[in-house]
Amino acid sequence: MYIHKNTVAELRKLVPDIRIPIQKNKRMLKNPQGALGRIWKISKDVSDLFKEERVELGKERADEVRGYAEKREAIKYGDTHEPTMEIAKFYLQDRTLIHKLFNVFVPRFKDYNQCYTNVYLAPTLYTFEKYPRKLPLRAILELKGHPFPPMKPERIPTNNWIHNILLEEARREYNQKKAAAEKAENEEASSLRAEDEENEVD
Amino acid sequence: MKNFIVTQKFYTVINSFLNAFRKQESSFLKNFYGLFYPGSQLAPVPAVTVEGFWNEDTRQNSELDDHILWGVPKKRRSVEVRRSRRIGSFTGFCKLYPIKKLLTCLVCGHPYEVGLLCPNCYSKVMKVTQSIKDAMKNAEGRDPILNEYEVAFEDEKLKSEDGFYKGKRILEVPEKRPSWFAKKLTQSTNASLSGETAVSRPNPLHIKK
Ligand SMILES: [Zn+2]
Repeated sequence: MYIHKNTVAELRKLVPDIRIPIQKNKRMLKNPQGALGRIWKISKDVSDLFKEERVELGKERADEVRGYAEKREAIKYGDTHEPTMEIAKFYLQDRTLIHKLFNVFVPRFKDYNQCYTNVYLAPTLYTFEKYPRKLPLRAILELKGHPFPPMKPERIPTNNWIHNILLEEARREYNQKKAAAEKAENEEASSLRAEDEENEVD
Repeated sequence: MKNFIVTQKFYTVINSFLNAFRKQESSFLKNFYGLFYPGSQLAPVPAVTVEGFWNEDTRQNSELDDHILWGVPKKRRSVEVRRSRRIGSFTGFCKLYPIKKLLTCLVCGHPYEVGLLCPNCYSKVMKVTQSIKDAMKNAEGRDPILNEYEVAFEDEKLKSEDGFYKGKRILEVPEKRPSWFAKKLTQSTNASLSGETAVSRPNPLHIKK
């Protein structure tokens, strides 16, 4: 099938870029009620995420919830579209969150080309309950543009970094060369002046 | 079965109850008959001593051989098997195994696993996020949120009359701003945003002058 370049560009606008592998089959999130209970669980987590903007979940659950948090209908159609309001009412259990969705998140993510969420894996936890063992992995799901400190804090720069040492050395060398050149110029000028003075005397 | 939902616990109870009838060799009544003393049928079990109960007369009279015998370990488990069952084996499934793939964090210098967050940095960040979340809860209450947040720590003073700063709602957190959470990379951490006090010049490399 041939797809023209422009159509791909248009499709890009509809689907946000999530550069992660997505599972072929959905996880059913073990519960007695089946598929309905699964969506109920997801809606609970989505409303938690939209309320707190950073939330800690199980690794599998976070990956499943992420796809539902990235729904684009609110940005595409706005708050006057009825089906989008139905979706918003279903997935956001707290009614006040719908105001937050259209007043805060829509203007924030309007011009985004990337995806809206980040996922980090938390460090492993250990217990001595029953027997010493690892607990299953947990993940941190967050919306971009949140007011919290970044999950991976940036390095504090020091003078001992290799490029800082090299730059400092280069700067010193440059200054030395400049000083030498100035010195040479001054000497030349003084010598010329001396010659001129001698000529004038003659 | 469309509108009928059985919870998991209830389902297991029913299933275990039905299994008593499903077994072909033993009937339901026989199971409970074996619990009582054969001479007096209503006598409770703990009143009977073991020696009195398991003699030859009882064995002949009651049909104990046909009854259910619960599963018990037949042979002693060796120490190696016992430990491998608890902790796991080194060759097969390891329940607890020393971690070999470790890296040092470039920010704080603690070791962390490959692909996961550094535990030291993680605990530091989550402590600050929790305090900000608490401030959020106190600020909003039950009202809907209509503006973005601007976090103001204890040592910062933001000029505002109505609680807004550049169209953002101010969150006052009763803590000092941590040194690793800079406002901008070009700005030093201790600078305040208000116009009255002088802003210190950025010095990211900590160069002594
Ligand atoms: Zn660290």
